[in-house]
Amino acid sequence: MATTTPNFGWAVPTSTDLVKDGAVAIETLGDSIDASLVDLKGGTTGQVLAKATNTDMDFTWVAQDDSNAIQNAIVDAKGDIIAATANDTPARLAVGTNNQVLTADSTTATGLKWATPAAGGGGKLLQVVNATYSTATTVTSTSFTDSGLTASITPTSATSKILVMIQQPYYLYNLIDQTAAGYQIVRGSTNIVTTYNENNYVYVGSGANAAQLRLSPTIITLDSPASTSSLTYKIQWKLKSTANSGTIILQSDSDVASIILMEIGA
Amino acid sequence: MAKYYEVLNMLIPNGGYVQVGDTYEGISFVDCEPITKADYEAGFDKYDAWKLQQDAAKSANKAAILERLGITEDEAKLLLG
Repeated sequence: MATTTPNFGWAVPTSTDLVKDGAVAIETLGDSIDASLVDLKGGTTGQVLAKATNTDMDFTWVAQDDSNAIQNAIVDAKGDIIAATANDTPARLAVGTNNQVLTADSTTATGLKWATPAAGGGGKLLQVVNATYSTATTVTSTSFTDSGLTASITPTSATSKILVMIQQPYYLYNLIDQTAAGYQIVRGSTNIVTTYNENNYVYVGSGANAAQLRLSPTIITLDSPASTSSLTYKIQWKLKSTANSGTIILQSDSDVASIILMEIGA
Repeated sequence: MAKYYEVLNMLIPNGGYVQVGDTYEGISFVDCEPITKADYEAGFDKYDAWKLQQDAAKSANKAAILERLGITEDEAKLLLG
């Protein structure tokens, strides 16, 4: 009476079967084993066996670098990374250059690119230059005149802005009537701030009396020089009129004036 | 002792100069007739007398105006106030 093996169900003779039936039983068993292992036949060098279906012993020979595996050949050089160009579609992204950072960019094939970060990052303070001047400078001219306060800065990027902060003590006075003074801040020969419009003069005095004004105001402006060359900033003053002994003294009594230039990253 | 800018106001009342520091060498005569160093240095000695003269002239002028108007200085202040 034949029985079957516990795992594969191959027919085998029982221990009580007659010897004369043994050859048939062995033939039957051999055929069963042969049928079960038929998928192991074939294949080529380098192939591996993969399940074809969920059925037991249902295999197929496949290439070791089948389409569902990441291939060694996808990368070519040190630093290459693998990114997707679409669903289930890996691709090589070559390494960038030193100090570049990986940046999302939907216009590229992989949606990524290596890019140089903005210097210091946006809105960051990149450098500060400070200068002082304390020599009294008397101006009685109606033309803009250097006050002696100046500073230079070389931006690290053409997109940077320069925050100009000036504190400058002055003494404005006249002996008889009214006088007025105005200033301008210049970068090189380019005027970036003016106060000499009629309503922006600093006035002192009224009527037939002498008058004086001592101030140490802070003047702030933001410049966009679009340059990486050395830039010189300075403040100049002039009088509206020299009548009535109008006079303005910058750094009067040798009080210290200061100019601070800050480069702000774009 | 007069201050350097007071002396220059006396000597060049209509301005037109720039002075860096308080020395004669620091003066640039931009839009005025230059003065000499001797004039500048002598100006310190002359200033006090000149200032007294200016103040006296100013007071006399004020008194003459008040007399012409027939009011006192306090009354003038009230009018201006």
